[in-house]
Amino acid sequence: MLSPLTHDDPATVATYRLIARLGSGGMGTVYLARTPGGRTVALKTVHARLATDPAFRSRFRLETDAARIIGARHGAAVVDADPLAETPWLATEYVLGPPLDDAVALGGPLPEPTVRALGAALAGALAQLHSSDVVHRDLKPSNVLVTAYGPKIIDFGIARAAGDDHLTRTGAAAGTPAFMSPEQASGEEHTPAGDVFALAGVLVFAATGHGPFGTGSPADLLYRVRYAEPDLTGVPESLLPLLTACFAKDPAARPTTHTLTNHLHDGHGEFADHLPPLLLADIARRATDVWLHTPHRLPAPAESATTATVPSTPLSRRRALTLGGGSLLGLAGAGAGVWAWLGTRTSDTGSPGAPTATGPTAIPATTATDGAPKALWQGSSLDREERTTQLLAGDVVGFAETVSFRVLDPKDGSVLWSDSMVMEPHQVTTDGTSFYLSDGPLEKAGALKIRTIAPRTGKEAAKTIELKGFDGSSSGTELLTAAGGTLFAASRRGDHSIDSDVNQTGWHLLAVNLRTGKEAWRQAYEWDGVRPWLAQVSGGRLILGKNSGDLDSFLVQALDVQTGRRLWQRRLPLKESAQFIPGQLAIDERHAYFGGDRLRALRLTDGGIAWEYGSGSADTSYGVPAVSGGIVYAQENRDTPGLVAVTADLGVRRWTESPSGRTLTPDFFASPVVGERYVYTPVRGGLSAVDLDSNRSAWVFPTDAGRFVVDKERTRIIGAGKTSVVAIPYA
Amino acid sequence: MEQARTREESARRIGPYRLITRLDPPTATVSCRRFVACTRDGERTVLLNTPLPGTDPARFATEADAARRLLGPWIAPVTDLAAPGESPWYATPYVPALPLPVALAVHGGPLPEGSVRAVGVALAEALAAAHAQGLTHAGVSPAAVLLTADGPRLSCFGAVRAAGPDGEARTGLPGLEPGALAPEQASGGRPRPPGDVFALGAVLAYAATGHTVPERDELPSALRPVISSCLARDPADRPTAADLMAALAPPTPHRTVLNSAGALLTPGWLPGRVVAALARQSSELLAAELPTDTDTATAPSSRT
Repeated sequence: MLSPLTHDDPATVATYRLIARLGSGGMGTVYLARTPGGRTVALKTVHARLATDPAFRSRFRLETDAARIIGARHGAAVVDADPLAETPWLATEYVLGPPLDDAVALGGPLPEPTVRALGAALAGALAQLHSSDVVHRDLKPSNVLVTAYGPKIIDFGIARAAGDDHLTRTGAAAGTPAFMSPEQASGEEHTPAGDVFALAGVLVFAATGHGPFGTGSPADLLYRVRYAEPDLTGVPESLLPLLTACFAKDPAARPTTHTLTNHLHDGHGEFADHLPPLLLADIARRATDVWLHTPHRLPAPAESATTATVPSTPLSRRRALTLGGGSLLGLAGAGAGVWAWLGTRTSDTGSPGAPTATGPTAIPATTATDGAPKALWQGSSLDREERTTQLLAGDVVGFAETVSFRVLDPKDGSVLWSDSMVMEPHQVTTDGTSFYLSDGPLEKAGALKIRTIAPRTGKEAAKTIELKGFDGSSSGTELLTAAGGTLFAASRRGDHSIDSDVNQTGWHLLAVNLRTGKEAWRQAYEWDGVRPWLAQVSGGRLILGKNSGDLDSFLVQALDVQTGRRLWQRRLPLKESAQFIPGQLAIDERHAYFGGDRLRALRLTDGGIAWEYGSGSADTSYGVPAVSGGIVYAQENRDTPGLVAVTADLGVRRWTESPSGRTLTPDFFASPVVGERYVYTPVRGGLSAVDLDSNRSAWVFPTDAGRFVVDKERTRIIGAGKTSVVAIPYA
Repeated sequence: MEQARTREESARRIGPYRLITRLDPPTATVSCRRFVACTRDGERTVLLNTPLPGTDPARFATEADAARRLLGPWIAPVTDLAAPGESPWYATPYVPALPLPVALAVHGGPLPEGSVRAVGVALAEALAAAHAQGLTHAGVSPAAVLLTADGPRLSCFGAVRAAGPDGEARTGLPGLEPGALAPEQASGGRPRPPGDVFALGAVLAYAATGHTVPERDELPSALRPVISSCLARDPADRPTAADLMAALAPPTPHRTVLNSAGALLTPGWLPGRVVAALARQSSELLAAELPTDTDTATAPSSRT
């Protein structure tokens, strides 16, 4: 709903004064805004860094076109748009009604009359859209707003004119497997009949609270959409025949939108008559709250008020940079608009105002800024799923996020370049000298393409590698790691257009010679629905780890780098799987180290257990470890949780963290970062620096970042979290 | 809310506000003219009340000034007022609101009993609070009751006193709903709390039947005794506002003086079409675009 503007939101976009934030996601931010004439609108903006990508601009322009086509009755009325602005924006009416998924979350499944009225209205909306040769392609509960006068369909992020598939690639990546049509899931043409399939899924969700194909990994969902029967448990009996017909795998066998409208509802009464009380009350509240909102803005973090690169108003930094900075040409200029550069101010260390993370993470009062260093720079994270993976290559750091890949200069946090073709973190990897990106055709199988990218420039540094017969899409390929001129990937062989169990079969571990571009070896493996693989090369072995499909164990295996032959495999118990999710691999020249019910070292030679540390009792567990200088460090969950340091060769305890007087809640899922003076351990709300001399937490740097890597060259730790990315000094 | 009217009146300004639209349909019986208006910068939107043409602006101004003291639950608070010497007006913060007669019109007839009861308890609570402060509202009528998302709001404070001085018959004065005027006030008596209770009885009768003076058997049987008692000709026979709260609210163990209406104003208290009309009003006003100072001569333009 309405939330205050943050300190770095602009004051205006075009002629619109911003009033409140309505939401923020991977693509951009939606604001409540007002025209000079007092009209209040929902203003959708695209992140500046995405706006530099022509493909994204095209999508945005298409979305605005589609929004105009569906019109005010069945969609959000378009007020104005400027897809060509430096920050492209779209102003629509502010729709007074919850998204269908929120409505169901609020009041439970909807009664049959509501489902029928909703279905008839949605079918009518689709009919209108289809008659204009537009197919929605992403109909799902969150894209349906339920107003008192009928549903409105929004977010045509992947809508396109029929027959026009130049956006196919991005389209498929943004699609939602749970409500996809089978033909869409197989990379074939999604016609109006595909929207009918999706509509039936939306109605099943409305009537039961669950999607027709359940939940799970995208690959699982895609499989079920294509081959499984929908789960119609809980659907009112009188709706079953019609909805079952909509779920026909053959598009031609599905009813038309016209048939749906006629069979769902006889048109009696007004739409509002069919809405349940809770939904009506929510609509009434939304209609009212927008008038009660007083515009205000969250204060800037203490530091930025003094080091802002623009004078006076802390709120207009971004605006000043994007407008005043002016560089339309350079990615860096656009990037600087997003990345609040905080600079290094070592001179006023006495100031109590260390930078805090932007965003809502509560920092416990006891972990205040006692002696913590100031951030070297910080910016916002765009990955609400917290899957950001930091990759160091050359003298830059890349952030692989769920929406794109962007590359920063670790010195000042400025964005060097970004690539929004990358939609998943596992589409990028590095060997430390280049980035490797896979962005094969997302809808049609047939080739895996790997691009080699120079870290600083973002330019292709070698010929694109193309491996025929593999599915290069984000759901069909995962880049694991690269080392010694070889890139390792997990990829699926097979052709989507052939009816076979391609989602479950055909998976291979794959090695690619980066010099010749040829496949070095492949090893088939059995898909169990769980990704990603964690991978690292050590001593001629590729060490791989992942959760098992049933999530009750962690699988570790070693392959011969040259031949792909499996050297050994081991299952480690994940007795407390809810407490422990492996994050990164900790490997030295002799062992690989793992947390869990015990801290364990596996011999790289044969996978045997070199040592175990800990009692294995139900009330102790160990977080993801880190190894450095012959010592393994891990968070130990005991009476007073804290870091434990164990010798790497024999697993003998060297020390445990002493209480510091702070109440710290360790994050067991993120590995510590080992420095020369401190071991940096992720804790709730920040990063705790455990002094290697005193074995106590010396200070806590407040941040919501949860994953950290070290750039030793530039002596900084780079963290990424739900709302922020940050660099702090490494010592 | 007629769009044709909007443009014609948008040129009009009252105090710091620019008029956007009227709240009441042209045929409504209401004691003042009510507009939705907003400040020039569009930041503050209010319900703006001005005297009816042909009534005494000074009496209106006196009541407007006194209305500032009326605070409490389910009251539309007066937050802004004409300066002395200016033509009188007063303003309350805008939230989407339908005058009760409009709500009946969009619903297509009398409101369900649950809605009537919820409105009744809330208004009784508002009157009980006013009476406890020694204030008589003297403006309760169907149009004075505004239905909003979370409950009713009582407006039009002092309409009876503004319409004519004590001691003179008030029958037939403009803006006064005859059925909601207690007999003792119609004959010129000074408005006192039992008159508010009478008017509330008329409002509830209106909500339940569509008339302020219903036939006895038109009333839902569960509400008949309590509404009839409010409409007693002799003020001494009417219940107090506090009595009414107890009579209308279902007994609950946690009821306190200040939240008795809350138990009734739960989701579903307003019929669907009334909610829909509130939402439509809200969206239309959100979409309202007034000419900016620089282009008052031309219609609002858009680059679309």
